[in-house]
Amino acid sequence: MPVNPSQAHDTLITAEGARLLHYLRSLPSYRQLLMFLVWKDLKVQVAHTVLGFGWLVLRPLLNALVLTLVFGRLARLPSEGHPYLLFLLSGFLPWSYFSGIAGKSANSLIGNSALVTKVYFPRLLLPASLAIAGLLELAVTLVFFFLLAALAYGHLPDANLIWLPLPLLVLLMVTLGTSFWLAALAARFRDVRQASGYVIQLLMFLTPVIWPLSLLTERLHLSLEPALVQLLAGLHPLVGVVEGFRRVLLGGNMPWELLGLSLLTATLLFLSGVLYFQRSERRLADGL
Amino acid sequence: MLEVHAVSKHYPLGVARAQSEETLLSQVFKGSARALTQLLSRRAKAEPSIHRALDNVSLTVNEGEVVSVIGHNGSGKSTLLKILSRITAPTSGEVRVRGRIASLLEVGTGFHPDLSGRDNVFLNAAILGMRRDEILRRFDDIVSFAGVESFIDTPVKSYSSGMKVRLGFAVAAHLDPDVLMIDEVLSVGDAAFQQRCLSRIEEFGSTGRTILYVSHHLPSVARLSRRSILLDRGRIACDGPTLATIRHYEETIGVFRARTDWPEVGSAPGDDTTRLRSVEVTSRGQPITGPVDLRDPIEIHLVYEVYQSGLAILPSVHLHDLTGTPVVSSIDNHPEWHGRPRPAGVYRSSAVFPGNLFNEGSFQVGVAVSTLSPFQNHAYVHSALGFSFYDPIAGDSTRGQYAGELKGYFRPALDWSTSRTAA
Repeated sequence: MPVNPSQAHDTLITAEGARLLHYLRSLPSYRQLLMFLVWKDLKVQVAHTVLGFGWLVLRPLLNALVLTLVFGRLARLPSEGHPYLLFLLSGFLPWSYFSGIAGKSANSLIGNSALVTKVYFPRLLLPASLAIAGLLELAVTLVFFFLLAALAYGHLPDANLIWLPLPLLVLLMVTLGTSFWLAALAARFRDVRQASGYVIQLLMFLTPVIWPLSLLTERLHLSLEPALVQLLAGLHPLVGVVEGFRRVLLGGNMPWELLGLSLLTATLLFLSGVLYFQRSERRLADGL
Repeated sequence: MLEVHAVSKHYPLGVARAQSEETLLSQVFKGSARALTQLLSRRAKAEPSIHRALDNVSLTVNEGEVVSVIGHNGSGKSTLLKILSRITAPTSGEVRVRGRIASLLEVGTGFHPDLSGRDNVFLNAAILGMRRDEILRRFDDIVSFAGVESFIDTPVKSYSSGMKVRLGFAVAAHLDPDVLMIDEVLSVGDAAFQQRCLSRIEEFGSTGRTILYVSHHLPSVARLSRRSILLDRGRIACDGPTLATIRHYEETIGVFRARTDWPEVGSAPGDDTTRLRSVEVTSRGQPITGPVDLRDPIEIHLVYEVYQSGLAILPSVHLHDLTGTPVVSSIDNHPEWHGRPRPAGVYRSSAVFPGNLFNEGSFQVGVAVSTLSPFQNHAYVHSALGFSFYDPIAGDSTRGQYAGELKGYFRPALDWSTSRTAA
């Protein structure tokens, strides 16, 4: 299979499957296949559509407009002094990335059963390629965000922009970790695929996407210390991601504690995802 | 080099059902129910019933050797290949492979209908383990091997099935592994293309590469490999020279059955229109008890009951080989009843196959009873009878004095003539 000339091509197949370390070490030799899968995901998305890559921007924008109408105009949710559309988009864009990739990943092994039952490669590549292909969509929509903010609202990004890689890293880890869990679980339990869509939808309302995090402390009259609330919120790693993106895109004090905590939980989610996926991989084909 | 050591693969029975319908909730319920029963009965955990798809299989394929694996459906051939190609893990045992492996369980694995032929070549080649630079170097060869040059930028969904198969095999044919494993790929495509594929595999084997070829198609097995392994119910039944293994296969597993009766009308094949009663093969009117001398004629008799009067009934027989490949079909076209409505009753129809028609080998007989217009099958049995022909080589068969192999299903007595046309 993909070949590294310096490496001896001895394969050992046992009931236990590949050791985790061995498995991880084999991954770099599959980077070309990973790139091909990413390229396929992108190409399939735009094949036979009139607008092609235009859909990448249009899809989240249309969603955001609907949400703005409902929650900004009708429900009049606070937006920390920013125009509601910008406030929403700053959290909704990373959220769409997460929900889109996690949703597709739940189907990534079942939908590719023709591949999975016919040829070997590390199955981790299937959800991973989705997450990488999705980054293009995220980048395009972020550029669109800056254009919209500058042209329609006269809002320019400030120095916070240099911190973009941090919430992005946490986002990537949360998304990959969740995707690995969902993909492996859905291949074994078909109801996971059905349920995950609803759970992800619900999760959006539990994440400060359409509402500001400050709402938690102000409106609910919680007797807890605001710092403690933040800490608890940080256990849900997407809170840190959304807040981080919001500060990066709209300005304000970077939520360092929140981001740090989110990074920790995201790392745990990611590592456990890799571990569970690898452990279930050797029996995957039997269930598809 | 390929070493398989004591490999077994067990599936819990009814695995396909259980797996697809398994749910988290049902797991939880099952888990607690099991825990409860165990707690109450305090019995040792009962062994769940399992299907041994592979049972303690060991074999070694040396470098540069071409080995075929044959056997019935469900004998474990595909399971073995799936374990060797790392698609599924064995339940126990281990496999060592030295060298770069490629496995071809299907041509065109992962073809995406919306992508062009060009894109699919790249994708499929990458999935099969080719590097980008290798693909680029071999791209033109692949396209011309498949003969789809003018369609290469057209989405694959508008390809004919033949084109898809050709493109898929063309990619596979340009792989460059040390160990190649192939499953049934020749069951697709037309005869000319199959010939090209076989030549390509032969070429591959002649360059010192190790090939494991899994197939139903005995002629191609005989052509490609000197050594063959027969799997039967998950175990190695025979491992040796290909011709000996094939003979063993035909003798032991090719089911001999000279007569089948359906005494219970309710369970007999058929419907309200007609049902089969019995099927029998005889030679010169005598029941056969073993292999038939291929110089002798054989007769196949169908006994069936027709319940509705006024229908044109069409009995037919269908011979196929052990792999299910059709050999010959014949319908009762005798003018006495062909196309004529007949009264209800029990009928016996017989077909005579003349002597000196079939080649040596094993055949299975399928039978059908249909109505002619509108055409409809009412009773059909795929393998009602099984028998084989042998040549006693007495000098008066159509092989004359030639003692070597004669291929094909038929060996009819033809009129040969030779005249001297020049000195």
